[in-house]
Amino acid sequence: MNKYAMFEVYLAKNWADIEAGKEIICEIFRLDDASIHLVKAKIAKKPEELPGGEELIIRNDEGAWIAKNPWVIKIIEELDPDEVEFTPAPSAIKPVY
Amino acid sequence: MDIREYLEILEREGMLTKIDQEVDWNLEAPCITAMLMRVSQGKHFILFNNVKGYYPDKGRLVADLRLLNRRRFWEVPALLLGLPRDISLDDFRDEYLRRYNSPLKPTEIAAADAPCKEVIKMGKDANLLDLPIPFVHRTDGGRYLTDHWVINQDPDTGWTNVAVYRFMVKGPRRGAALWTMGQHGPSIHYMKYEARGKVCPVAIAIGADPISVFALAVSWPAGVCEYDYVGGLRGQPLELVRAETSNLLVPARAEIVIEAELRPGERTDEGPFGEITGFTHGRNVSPVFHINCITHRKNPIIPIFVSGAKWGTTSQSIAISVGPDFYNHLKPLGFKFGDACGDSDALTSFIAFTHDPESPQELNQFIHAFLSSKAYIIHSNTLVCDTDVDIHDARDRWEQVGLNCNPQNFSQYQYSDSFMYALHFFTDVENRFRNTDGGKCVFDCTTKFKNMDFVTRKNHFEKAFPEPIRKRAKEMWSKLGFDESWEEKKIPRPFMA
Repeated sequence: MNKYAMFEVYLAKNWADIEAGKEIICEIFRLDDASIHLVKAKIAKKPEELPGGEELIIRNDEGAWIAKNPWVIKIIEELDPDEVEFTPAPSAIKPVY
Repeated sequence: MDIREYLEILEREGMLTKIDQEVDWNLEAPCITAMLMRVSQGKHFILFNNVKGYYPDKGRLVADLRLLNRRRFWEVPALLLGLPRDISLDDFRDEYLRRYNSPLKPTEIAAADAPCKEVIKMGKDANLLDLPIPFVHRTDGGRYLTDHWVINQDPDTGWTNVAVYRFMVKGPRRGAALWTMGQHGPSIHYMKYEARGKVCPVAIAIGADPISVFALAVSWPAGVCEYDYVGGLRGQPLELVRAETSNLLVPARAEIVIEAELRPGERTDEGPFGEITGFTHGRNVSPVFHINCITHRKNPIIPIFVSGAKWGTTSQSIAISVGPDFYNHLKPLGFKFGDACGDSDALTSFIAFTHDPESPQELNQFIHAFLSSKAYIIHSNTLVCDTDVDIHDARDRWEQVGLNCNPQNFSQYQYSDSFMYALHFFTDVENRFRNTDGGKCVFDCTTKFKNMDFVTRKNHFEKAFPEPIRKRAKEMWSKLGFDESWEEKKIPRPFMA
Protein backbone atom coordinates (compact mmCIF):
# COMPACT_ATOMS: atom_id res chain seq x y z
CA MET A 1 0.00 0.00 0.00
CA ASN A 2 1.34 3.39 -0.97
CA LYS A 3 0.97 6.65 0.87
CA TYR A 4 -0.01 9.82 -1.01
CA ALA A 5 -0.41 13.54 -0.31
CA MET A 6 -2.46 16.27 -1.96
CA PHE A 7 -3.33 19.89 -1.37
CA GLU A 8 -6.48 20.79 0.52
CA VAL A 9 -7.59 23.28 -2.15
CA TYR A 10 -8.33 20.40 -4.52
CA LEU A 11 -10.66 18.83 -1.98
CA ALA A 12 -12.45 22.15 -1.73
CA LYS A 13 -12.52 22.66 -5.49
CA ASN A 14 -13.96 19.19 -6.13
CA TRP A 15 -15.97 18.78 -2.97
CA ALA A 16 -19.36 18.23 -4.62
CA ASP A 17 -17.96 15.38 -6.75
CA ILE A 18 -16.03 13.86 -3.86
CA GLU A 19 -19.12 13.91 -1.66
CA ALA A 20 -21.14 12.29 -4.45
CA GLY A 21 -18.54 9.50 -4.75
CA LYS A 22 -17.53 10.59 -8.25
CA GLU A 23 -14.06 10.43 -9.77
CA ILE A 24 -11.99 13.57 -9.87
CA ILE A 25 -8.78 14.50 -11.65
CA CYS A 26 -6.04 15.48 -9.23
CA GLU A 27 -2.30 15.69 -8.85
CA ILE A 28 -0.91 13.59 -6.02
CA PHE A 29 2.49 13.05 -4.47
CA ARG A 30 3.56 9.48 -3.63
CA LEU A 31 5.65 9.64 -0.47
CA ASP A 32 7.31 6.25 -0.89
CA ASP A 33 9.34 7.19 -3.96
CA ALA A 34 8.81 10.99 -3.98
CA SER A 35 7.04 10.88 -7.34
CA ILE A 36 4.20 13.05 -8.63
CA HIS A 37 1.25 11.69 -10.57
CA LEU A 38 -1.73 13.13 -12.37
CA VAL A 39 -4.57 10.69 -11.79
CA LYS A 40 -8.26 10.05 -12.09
CA ALA A 41 -9.27 8.92 -8.60
CA LYS A 42 -11.96 8.61 -5.99
CA ILE A 43 -11.38 10.20 -2.61
CA ALA A 44 -13.06 9.67 0.75
CA LYS A 45 -12.63 10.97 4.24
CA LYS A 46 -12.74 7.56 5.96
CA PRO A 47 -11.34 4.14 4.90
CA GLU A 48 -14.75 2.47 5.29
CA GLU A 49 -16.19 4.84 2.68
CA LEU A 50 -13.70 3.63 0.05
CA PRO A 51 -12.65 0.00 0.56
CA GLY A 52 -9.29 -0.84 -0.99
CA GLY A 53 -8.26 2.77 -0.90
CA GLU A 54 -4.76 3.94 -0.04
CA GLU A 55 -3.68 6.49 2.55
CA LEU A 56 -3.97 10.15 1.51
CA ILE A 57 -2.37 12.95 3.53
CA ILE A 58 -4.02 16.35 3.17
CA ARG A 59 -1.86 19.43 3.33
CA ASN A 60 -2.75 23.08 3.25
CA ASP A 61 -1.16 25.72 1.05
CA GLU A 62 1.48 26.35 3.72
CA GLY A 63 2.59 22.73 3.37
CA ALA A 64 1.35 21.61 6.80
CA TRP A 65 -0.22 18.15 7.11
CA ILE A 66 -3.60 19.17 8.45
CA ALA A 67 -5.94 16.20 8.73
CA LYS A 68 -5.70 14.37 12.05
CA ASN A 69 -6.55 11.10 10.31
CA PRO A 70 -5.47 10.42 6.75
CA TRP A 71 -8.08 10.40 4.01
CA VAL A 72 -8.31 7.62 1.44
CA ILE A 73 -7.66 7.58 -2.30
CA LYS A 74 -8.39 4.94 -4.92
CA ILE A 75 -6.56 5.56 -8.18
CA ILE A 76 -8.66 4.66 -11.21
CA GLU A 77 -6.27 5.73 -13.95
CA GLU A 78 -2.89 7.38 -14.30
CA LEU A 79 -3.04 10.31 -16.76
CA ASP A 80 -0.37 11.85 -18.97
CA PRO A 81 0.12 15.50 -17.92
CA ASP A 82 1.08 16.34 -21.52
CA GLU A 83 -2.32 15.07 -22.68
CA VAL A 84 -4.62 16.29 -19.90
CA GLU A 85 -4.73 19.93 -18.88
CA PHE A 86 -4.60 20.40 -15.13
CA THR A 87 -4.75 23.98 -13.87
CA PRO A 88 -3.62 24.91 -10.35
CA ALA A 89 -6.46 25.92 -8.04
CA PRO A 90 -6.35 29.44 -6.62
CA SER A 91 -5.50 29.69 -2.92
CA ALA A 92 -8.70 31.64 -2.31
CA ILE A 93 -10.84 28.49 -2.47
CA LYS A 94 -11.81 27.76 1.11
CA PRO A 95 -12.63 24.33 2.53
CA VAL A 96 -16.34 23.49 2.73
CA TYR A 97 -16.22 19.96 4.15
CA MET B 1 37.43 25.70 -11.45
CA ASP B 2 34.82 22.98 -11.68
CA ILE B 3 33.47 20.74 -8.97
CA ARG B 4 35.93 17.94 -9.72
CA GLU B 5 38.92 20.26 -9.40
CA TYR B 6 37.52 21.62 -6.16
CA LEU B 7 37.04 18.10 -4.80
CA GLU B 8 40.70 17.41 -5.60
CA ILE B 9 41.68 20.47 -3.54
CA LEU B 10 39.49 19.28 -0.65
CA GLU B 11 41.07 15.83 -0.87
CA ARG B 12 44.59 17.31 -0.83
CA GLU B 13 43.62 19.33 2.25
CA GLY B 14 42.36 16.15 3.93
CA MET B 15 38.82 17.52 4.01
CA LEU B 16 37.04 15.07 1.70
CA THR B 17 35.40 11.83 2.81
CA LYS B 18 34.33 9.43 0.07
CA ILE B 19 31.51 7.10 1.02
CA ASP B 20 31.30 3.91 -1.03
CA GLN B 21 28.54 2.37 1.06
CA GLU B 22 25.07 2.59 -0.54
CA VAL B 23 23.17 5.72 0.48
CA ASP B 24 19.62 6.54 -0.59
CA TRP B 25 18.83 9.78 -2.44
CA ASN B 26 15.44 9.60 -0.71
CA LEU B 27 16.05 11.54 2.56
CA GLU B 28 19.12 9.53 3.65
CA ALA B 29 21.86 11.45 1.80
CA PRO B 30 20.17 14.79 2.68
CA CYS B 31 19.95 13.70 6.34
CA ILE B 32 23.68 12.90 6.46
CA THR B 33 24.34 16.23 4.74
CA ALA B 34 22.25 18.10 7.31
CA MET B 35 24.07 16.33 10.15
CA LEU B 36 27.37 17.28 8.55
CA MET B 37 26.19 20.86 8.27
CA ARG B 38 25.46 20.90 12.00
CA VAL B 39 28.68 19.39 13.26
CA SER B 40 31.49 19.57 10.76
CA GLN B 41 32.52 23.23 11.12
CA GLY B 42 33.54 23.21 7.49
CA LYS B 43 36.27 20.66 8.07
CA HIS B 44 34.67 17.75 6.22
CA PHE B 45 32.88 17.25 2.93
CA ILE B 46 31.26 14.05 1.70
CA LEU B 47 31.14 12.53 -1.76
CA PHE B 48 28.45 9.85 -1.96
CA ASN B 49 29.84 7.48 -4.60
CA ASN B 50 27.14 4.84 -4.30
CA VAL B 51 23.67 6.34 -4.58
CA LYS B 52 20.86 3.79 -4.42
CA GLY B 53 19.60 3.00 -7.90
CA TYR B 54 22.29 5.07 -9.61
CA TYR B 55 25.47 3.08 -8.93
CA PRO B 56 27.95 2.66 -10.55
CA ASP B 57 27.79 5.32 -13.27
CA LYS B 58 24.43 7.12 -13.33
CA GLY B 59 25.35 9.82 -10.87
CA ARG B 60 26.76 10.76 -7.48
CA LEU B 61 25.91 13.28 -4.78
CA VAL B 62 28.19 15.62 -2.89
CA ALA B 63 27.22 17.18 0.44
CA ASP B 64 27.26 20.95 0.78
CA LEU B 65 30.42 22.04 -0.99
CA ARG B 66 30.70 25.40 0.69
CA LEU B 67 30.21 24.60 4.33
CA LEU B 68 32.06 27.18 6.39
CA ASN B 69 34.20 26.89 9.46
CA ARG B 70 32.33 28.77 12.18
CA ARG B 71 35.47 30.45 13.52
CA ARG B 72 37.48 30.88 10.35
CA PHE B 73 34.51 31.37 8.04
CA TRP B 74 36.66 32.69 5.18
CA GLU B 75 38.78 29.52 5.02
CA VAL B 76 36.56 27.51 2.64
CA PRO B 77 35.73 30.55 0.47
CA ALA B 78 39.50 31.11 0.23
CA LEU B 79 39.95 27.56 -1.09
CA LEU B 80 37.12 28.22 -3.54
CA LEU B 81 38.91 31.33 -4.75
CA GLY B 82 42.13 29.35 -5.11
CA LEU B 83 43.75 31.20 -2.19
CA PRO B 84 45.76 29.60 0.62
CA ARG B 85 43.67 28.17 3.43
CA ASP B 86 45.65 30.03 6.10
CA ILE B 87 45.11 33.49 4.59
CA SER B 88 44.12 36.22 7.07
CA LEU B 89 40.58 37.57 7.06
CA ASP B 90 41.75 41.05 6.11
CA ASP B 91 43.75 39.76 3.15
CA PHE B 92 40.90 37.51 2.06
CA ARG B 93 38.41 40.38 2.11
CA ASP B 94 40.69 42.70 0.18
CA GLU B 95 41.20 40.06 -2.51
CA TYR B 96 37.52 39.14 -2.53
CA LEU B 97 36.46 42.77 -2.97
CA ARG B 98 39.09 43.36 -5.65
CA ARG B 99 37.84 40.39 -7.68
CA TYR B 100 34.23 41.28 -6.95
CA ASN B 101 34.78 44.67 -8.55
CA SER B 102 36.68 43.23 -11.54
CA PRO B 103 34.09 41.35 -13.61
CA LEU B 104 35.31 39.35 -16.60
CA LYS B 105 33.27 38.57 -19.70
CA PRO B 106 32.84 34.84 -20.35
CA THR B 107 34.27 33.06 -23.39
CA GLU B 108 32.48 30.59 -25.66
CA ILE B 109 34.13 27.27 -26.43
CA ALA B 110 33.28 24.54 -28.94
CA ALA B 111 30.83 21.81 -27.95
CA ALA B 112 33.52 19.19 -28.59
CA ASP B 113 35.64 20.75 -25.82
CA ALA B 114 32.81 21.08 -23.30
CA PRO B 115 32.79 18.39 -20.57
CA CYS B 116 29.07 18.97 -19.98
CA LYS B 117 28.40 17.46 -23.44
CA GLU B 118 30.01 14.07 -22.76
CA VAL B 119 26.52 12.55 -22.76
CA ILE B 120 23.65 14.13 -24.72
CA LYS B 121 20.05 12.96 -24.33
CA MET B 122 17.49 14.61 -26.55
CA GLY B 123 13.70 14.55 -26.57
CA LYS B 124 12.16 11.51 -24.92
CA ASP B 125 15.58 10.14 -23.95
CA ALA B 126 15.99 13.07 -21.58
CA ASN B 127 14.67 11.91 -18.21
CA LEU B 128 15.10 13.77 -14.92
CA LEU B 129 14.55 10.51 -13.04
CA ASP B 130 17.76 9.14 -14.58
CA LEU B 131 19.63 11.55 -12.29
CA PRO B 132 20.01 11.07 -8.50
CA ILE B 133 18.12 14.25 -7.67
CA PRO B 134 17.42 14.02 -3.93
CA PHE B 135 14.21 14.08 -1.92
CA VAL B 136 15.43 16.53 0.69
CA HIS B 137 12.89 16.98 3.51
CA ARG B 138 10.01 14.67 4.46
CA THR B 139 7.47 17.47 4.08
CA ASP B 140 8.61 18.51 0.58
CA GLY B 141 6.32 18.09 -2.38
CA GLY B 142 8.84 16.28 -4.57
CA ARG B 143 12.49 15.73 -5.43
CA TYR B 144 14.42 19.00 -5.58
CA LEU B 145 17.56 20.52 -7.00
CA THR B 146 18.91 23.06 -4.53
CA ASP B 147 22.35 23.99 -5.81
CA HIS B 148 22.21 24.94 -9.47
CA TRP B 149 21.92 27.88 -11.85
CA VAL B 150 18.75 28.81 -13.73
CA ILE B 151 19.75 30.61 -16.93
CA ASN B 152 17.44 32.71 -19.09
CA GLN B 153 17.72 35.62 -21.48
CA ASP B 154 15.98 38.88 -22.27
CA PRO B 155 14.38 38.43 -25.71
CA ASP B 156 15.14 42.05 -26.67
CA THR B 157 18.56 42.84 -25.28
CA GLY B 158 20.17 39.42 -24.95
CA TRP B 159 20.92 40.13 -21.27
CA THR B 160 21.49 36.74 -19.63
CA ASN B 161 20.28 36.31 -16.08
CA VAL B 162 21.58 33.56 -13.82
CA ALA B 163 19.99 32.79 -10.48
CA VAL B 164 19.07 30.00 -8.10
CA TYR B 165 15.39 29.13 -8.01
CA ARG B 166 14.61 25.85 -6.26
CA PHE B 167 13.69 23.30 -8.92
CA MET B 168 11.14 20.53 -8.42
CA VAL B 169 11.00 17.33 -10.43
CA LYS B 170 7.39 16.86 -11.49
CA GLY B 171 7.96 13.95 -13.84
CA PRO B 172 10.51 12.48 -16.25
CA ARG B 173 10.31 15.51 -18.55
CA ARG B 174 8.48 18.09 -16.42
CA GLY B 175 9.61 20.43 -13.70
CA ALA B 176 8.60 23.52 -11.75
CA ALA B 177 10.48 26.23 -9.90
CA LEU B 178 9.96 28.85 -7.23
CA TRP B 179 9.46 31.52 -9.87
CA THR B 180 9.58 34.47 -7.49
CA MET B 181 8.21 37.76 -8.73
CA GLY B 182 10.63 40.60 -8.13
CA GLN B 183 13.58 38.62 -9.47
CA HIS B 184 14.90 39.41 -12.91
CA GLY B 185 14.31 36.12 -14.73
CA PRO B 186 10.68 35.60 -13.74
CA SER B 187 9.67 39.29 -13.62
CA ILE B 188 11.34 40.65 -16.73
CA HIS B 189 12.51 37.96 -19.13
CA TYR B 190 9.75 35.38 -18.75
CA MET B 191 6.99 38.00 -18.65
CA LYS B 192 8.20 39.45 -21.96
CA TYR B 193 8.02 36.04 -23.64
CA GLU B 194 4.64 35.26 -22.14
CA ALA B 195 3.12 38.61 -23.06
CA ARG B 196 4.13 37.93 -26.69
CA GLY B 197 2.76 34.40 -26.60
CA LYS B 198 6.24 32.96 -27.15
CA VAL B 199 8.09 30.04 -25.63
CA CYS B 200 10.80 31.05 -23.14
CA PRO B 201 13.97 28.92 -23.30
CA VAL B 202 15.59 28.13 -19.96
CA ALA B 203 18.64 26.10 -18.95
CA ILE B 204 19.49 24.66 -15.56
CA ALA B 205 23.17 24.05 -14.88
CA ILE B 206 24.11 21.74 -12.01
CA GLY B 207 27.59 21.58 -10.54
CA ALA B 208 29.17 24.48 -12.40
CA ASP B 209 31.94 26.59 -10.83
CA PRO B 210 31.39 26.26 -7.04
CA ILE B 211 32.43 29.88 -6.45
CA SER B 212 29.23 30.91 -8.19
CA VAL B 213 27.13 30.91 -5.05
CA PHE B 214 28.83 34.12 -3.96
CA ALA B 215 28.16 35.80 -7.31
CA LEU B 216 24.56 34.60 -7.44
CA ALA B 217 23.73 35.68 -3.87
CA VAL B 218 24.27 39.33 -4.76
CA SER B 219 21.57 41.82 -5.76
CA TRP B 220 23.01 42.89 -9.10
CA PRO B 221 21.07 45.61 -10.92
CA ALA B 222 19.07 44.85 -14.07
CA GLY B 223 21.19 44.32 -17.18
CA VAL B 224 24.12 42.76 -15.31
CA CYS B 225 25.08 39.18 -16.12
CA GLU B 226 26.19 37.01 -13.22
CA TYR B 227 28.56 35.10 -15.56
CA ASP B 228 30.81 38.19 -15.57
CA TYR B 229 31.04 38.14 -11.79
CA VAL B 230 31.68 34.41 -11.57
CA GLY B 231 34.61 35.10 -13.92
CA GLY B 232 35.69 38.06 -11.80
CA LEU B 233 35.69 36.06 -8.58
CA ARG B 234 37.47 33.18 -10.30
CA GLY B 235 40.03 35.53 -11.83
CA GLN B 236 39.51 34.04 -15.29
CA PRO B 237 36.61 34.10 -17.74
CA LEU B 238 33.92 31.48 -17.32
CA GLU B 239 33.84 29.02 -20.23
CA LEU B 240 30.44 28.75 -21.88
CA VAL B 241 29.03 26.54 -24.59
CA ARG B 242 25.94 26.85 -26.75
CA ALA B 243 22.89 24.86 -25.58
CA GLU B 244 21.57 22.07 -27.83
CA THR B 245 17.99 23.29 -28.16
CA SER B 246 18.20 27.07 -27.71
CA ASN B 247 20.54 29.98 -28.21
CA LEU B 248 21.43 30.13 -24.52
CA LEU B 249 25.06 29.90 -23.43
CA VAL B 250 25.59 27.50 -20.54
CA PRO B 251 28.63 26.75 -18.34
CA ALA B 252 30.77 24.28 -20.26
CA ARG B 253 32.26 22.60 -17.21
CA ALA B 254 28.93 22.00 -15.44
CA GLU B 255 28.19 18.45 -14.36
CA ILE B 256 24.70 18.52 -15.88
CA VAL B 257 22.77 20.95 -18.08
CA ILE B 258 19.00 20.58 -18.33
CA GLU B 259 17.46 22.42 -21.26
CA ALA B 260 13.80 23.35 -20.96
CA GLU B 261 11.10 25.59 -22.39
CA LEU B 262 8.34 27.50 -20.62
CA ARG B 263 5.19 27.77 -22.71
CA PRO B 264 3.02 30.86 -22.30
CA GLY B 265 0.02 30.58 -20.02
CA GLU B 266 0.88 27.18 -18.58
CA ARG B 267 1.00 26.84 -14.81
CA THR B 268 1.53 24.05 -12.34
CA ASP B 269 1.74 23.60 -8.59
CA GLU B 270 5.19 23.75 -7.02
CA GLY B 271 6.15 23.07 -3.40
CA PRO B 272 6.06 22.65 -0.49
CA PHE B 273 9.76 22.89 0.22
CA GLY B 274 11.82 23.43 3.38
CA GLU B 275 13.37 26.77 2.56
CA ILE B 276 16.52 28.74 3.37
CA THR B 277 14.59 30.87 5.85
CA GLY B 278 14.01 27.82 8.04
CA PHE B 279 10.34 27.26 7.27
CA THR B 280 8.45 25.00 4.92
CA HIS B 281 7.35 27.22 2.09
CA GLY B 282 4.00 26.03 0.81
CA ARG B 283 2.27 25.70 -2.54
CA ASN B 284 3.45 28.05 -5.21
CA VAL B 285 2.31 28.43 -8.80
CA SER B 286 5.06 28.00 -11.39
CA PRO B 287 5.37 27.85 -15.16
CA VAL B 288 5.78 24.28 -16.44
CA PHE B 289 9.36 23.43 -17.34
CA HIS B 290 9.18 21.10 -20.35
CA ILE B 291 12.50 19.28 -20.57
CA ASN B 292 13.86 19.05 -24.11
CA CYS B 293 17.39 17.88 -23.54
CA ILE B 294 19.80 16.82 -20.79
CA THR B 295 23.55 16.89 -21.31
CA HIS B 296 26.00 15.75 -18.66
CA ARG B 297 29.46 14.55 -17.76
CA LYS B 298 29.99 10.84 -17.27
CA ASN B 299 28.82 9.74 -13.81
CA PRO B 300 27.78 13.31 -12.96
CA ILE B 301 27.96 14.80 -9.47
CA ILE B 302 24.95 16.64 -8.03
CA PRO B 303 25.68 18.94 -5.09
CA ILE B 304 23.18 18.80 -2.24
CA PHE B 305 22.38 21.70 -0.02
CA VAL B 306 19.86 21.00 2.76
CA SER B 307 18.14 24.29 3.39
CA GLY B 308 16.71 25.09 6.78
CA ALA B 309 19.32 22.98 8.50
CA LYS B 310 20.62 26.03 10.33
CA TRP B 311 24.23 26.09 9.22
CA GLY B 312 24.23 25.91 5.47
CA THR B 313 25.38 27.22 2.17
CA THR B 314 22.81 29.85 1.36
CA SER B 315 22.90 31.81 4.58
CA GLN B 316 26.67 31.45 4.64
CA SER B 317 27.10 32.67 1.11
CA ILE B 318 24.96 35.65 2.00
CA ALA B 319 27.10 36.11 5.11
CA ILE B 320 30.16 36.39 2.85
CA SER B 321 28.65 38.38 0.00
CA VAL B 322 26.69 41.09 1.84
CA GLY B 323 29.86 42.94 2.84
CA PRO B 324 31.01 43.78 -0.69
CA ASP B 325 27.39 44.14 -1.82
CA PHE B 326 26.55 46.83 0.75
CA TYR B 327 29.96 48.41 0.37
CA ASN B 328 29.19 48.97 -3.32
CA HIS B 329 25.72 50.32 -2.52
CA LEU B 330 26.58 52.63 0.37
CA LYS B 331 30.08 53.88 -0.39
CA PRO B 332 28.98 56.00 -3.39
CA LEU B 333 26.44 57.69 -1.11
CA GLY B 334 29.30 59.04 0.98
CA PHE B 335 28.97 56.88 4.07
CA LYS B 336 32.03 55.75 5.98
CA PHE B 337 31.37 52.09 5.47
CA GLY B 338 32.72 49.90 8.24
CA ASP B 339 31.71 46.31 7.71
CA ALA B 340 28.67 44.15 7.03
CA CYS B 341 27.99 40.47 7.36
CA GLY B 342 25.06 38.09 7.37
CA ASP B 343 24.14 35.98 10.35
CA SER B 344 24.25 32.32 9.38
CA ASP B 345 22.61 31.31 12.63
CA ALA B 346 19.59 33.46 11.81
CA LEU B 347 19.44 32.12 8.26
CA THR B 348 18.75 35.03 5.93
CA SER B 349 16.81 37.23 8.34
CA PHE B 350 19.56 39.01 10.27
CA ILE B 351 22.48 41.04 9.05
CA ALA B 352 24.90 43.24 10.96
CA PHE B 353 26.77 46.44 10.16
CA THR B 354 29.48 48.40 11.88
CA HIS B 355 29.37 52.14 11.54
CA ASP B 356 31.08 55.13 13.13
CA PRO B 357 28.40 57.84 12.80
CA GLU B 358 29.34 61.50 12.59
CA SER B 359 26.09 62.53 14.27
CA PRO B 360 22.77 60.97 15.30
CA GLN B 361 21.31 62.37 12.09
CA GLU B 362 24.01 60.73 10.00
CA LEU B 363 23.31 57.40 11.72
CA ASN B 364 19.66 57.84 10.82
CA GLN B 365 20.59 58.52 7.19
CA PHE B 366 22.90 55.50 7.11
CA ILE B 367 20.14 53.22 8.41
CA HIS B 368 17.61 54.51 5.91
CA ALA B 369 20.14 54.21 3.09
CA PHE B 370 20.68 50.50 3.65
CA LEU B 371 17.01 49.87 4.37
CA SER B 372 16.14 51.30 0.96
CA SER B 373 18.89 49.55 -1.00
CA LYS B 374 18.10 46.54 -3.19
CA ALA B 375 20.72 44.57 -1.29
CA TYR B 376 18.44 44.68 1.77
CA ILE B 377 15.46 43.15 0.02
CA ILE B 378 15.60 39.73 1.68
CA HIS B 379 16.63 40.85 5.16
CA SER B 380 14.32 41.78 8.00
CA ASN B 381 16.34 42.44 11.14
CA THR B 382 19.60 44.31 11.44
CA LEU B 383 22.15 45.23 14.05
CA VAL B 384 24.24 48.37 13.72
CA CYS B 385 27.28 48.18 15.99
CA ASP B 386 30.36 50.21 16.83
CA THR B 387 33.39 49.65 14.62
CA ASP B 388 35.34 47.92 17.40
CA VAL B 389 32.90 45.01 17.39
CA ASP B 390 33.65 41.75 15.56
CA ILE B 391 30.27 41.36 13.89
CA HIS B 392 31.48 38.16 12.21
CA ASP B 393 31.31 36.43 15.60
CA ALA B 394 27.74 35.50 16.57
CA ARG B 395 28.61 35.72 20.27
CA ASP B 396 29.75 39.32 19.85
CA ARG B 397 26.62 40.25 17.92
CA TRP B 398 24.33 39.02 20.67
CA GLU B 399 26.50 40.61 23.31
CA GLN B 400 25.89 43.91 21.53
CA VAL B 401 22.15 43.43 21.71
CA GLY B 402 22.45 42.56 25.38
CA LEU B 403 24.69 45.47 26.27
CA ASN B 404 23.73 48.33 24.04
CA CYS B 405 20.09 47.96 23.04
CA ASN B 406 17.52 49.76 25.11
CA PRO B 407 14.20 47.97 24.52
CA GLN B 408 12.40 51.27 25.08
CA ASN B 409 13.93 52.53 21.84
CA PHE B 410 13.12 49.57 19.61
CA SER B 411 10.28 51.43 17.93
CA GLN B 412 12.76 54.04 16.65
CA TYR B 413 13.69 51.87 13.67
CA GLN B 414 10.75 49.56 13.36
CA TYR B 415 8.70 49.57 10.17
CA SER B 416 5.59 47.68 9.22
CA ASP B 417 3.89 47.32 5.83
CA SER B 418 7.23 47.14 4.05
CA PHE B 419 8.39 44.79 1.30
CA MET B 420 7.85 41.15 2.26
CA TYR B 421 10.39 38.65 1.01
CA ALA B 422 8.43 35.69 -0.33
CA LEU B 423 10.31 33.20 1.82
CA HIS B 424 9.86 34.91 5.17
CA PHE B 425 6.96 33.72 7.22
CA PHE B 426 5.95 36.62 9.39
CA THR B 427 2.74 37.12 7.45
CA ASP B 428 0.22 34.99 5.58
CA VAL B 429 0.56 33.27 2.23
CA GLU B 430 -1.35 35.91 0.24
CA ASN B 431 0.86 38.75 1.49
CA ARG B 432 3.93 36.73 0.64
CA PHE B 433 2.68 36.26 -2.92
CA ARG B 434 2.15 40.04 -3.18
CA ASN B 435 5.38 40.89 -1.29
CA THR B 436 3.36 43.16 1.01
CA ASP B 437 2.82 43.57 4.76
CA GLY B 438 6.42 42.82 5.65
CA GLY B 439 8.39 44.28 8.53
CA LYS B 440 11.86 45.65 9.07
CA CYS B 441 13.59 46.37 12.34
CA VAL B 442 16.99 47.82 13.16
CA PHE B 443 18.67 47.31 16.53
CA ASP B 444 20.81 50.35 17.15
CA CYS B 445 23.75 48.98 19.14
CA THR B 446 26.01 51.98 18.59
CA THR B 447 27.14 53.87 21.68
CA LYS B 448 28.67 57.10 20.42
CA PHE B 449 25.65 59.35 20.84
CA LYS B 450 23.83 57.50 23.57
CA ASN B 451 23.46 58.58 27.15
CA MET B 452 26.56 57.20 28.79
CA ASP B 453 24.65 56.70 32.05
CA PHE B 454 22.64 54.15 30.16
CA VAL B 455 25.30 52.43 28.10
CA THR B 456 26.79 49.62 30.10
CA ARG B 457 30.49 49.49 29.44
CA LYS B 458 31.79 46.21 28.29
CA ASN B 459 34.02 44.33 30.63
CA HIS B 460 35.37 42.26 27.79
CA PHE B 461 38.14 39.68 27.83
CA GLU B 462 40.94 41.97 26.64
CA LYS B 463 39.96 44.62 29.19
CA ALA B 464 39.50 42.21 32.06
CA PHE B 465 42.81 40.39 31.61
CA PRO B 466 45.95 42.40 30.77
CA GLU B 467 48.22 41.14 28.02
CA PRO B 468 50.95 39.59 30.26
CA ILE B 469 48.32 37.49 32.02
CA ARG B 470 46.77 36.45 28.72
CA LYS B 471 50.19 35.54 27.34
CA ARG B 472 50.96 33.33 30.34
CA ALA B 473 47.56 31.67 30.19
CA LYS B 474 48.09 31.02 26.49
CA GLU B 475 51.45 29.37 27.18
CA MET B 476 49.80 27.13 29.76
CA TRP B 477 46.82 26.43 27.53
CA SER B 478 47.95 23.23 25.84
CA LYS B 479 49.55 21.97 29.07
CA LEU B 480 46.14 22.27 30.66
CA GLY B 481 44.91 19.67 28.19
CA PHE B 482 42.98 21.76 25.64
CA ASP B 483 43.46 20.64 22.07
CA GLU B 484 42.04 23.75 20.40
CA SER B 485 44.46 26.52 19.64
CA TRP B 486 43.83 29.81 21.37
CA GLU B 487 43.64 32.86 19.17
CA GLU B 488 43.52 36.46 20.31
CA LYS B 489 40.44 38.37 19.23
CA LYS B 490 41.22 40.46 16.18
CA ILE B 491 38.70 42.93 14.83
CA PRO B 492 38.62 42.82 11.01
CA ARG B 493 39.71 46.14 9.60
CA PRO B 494 37.02 48.20 7.86
CA PHE B 495 36.45 47.61 4.18
CA MET B 496 39.20 49.03 1.98
CA ALA B 497 40.82 50.73 4.97
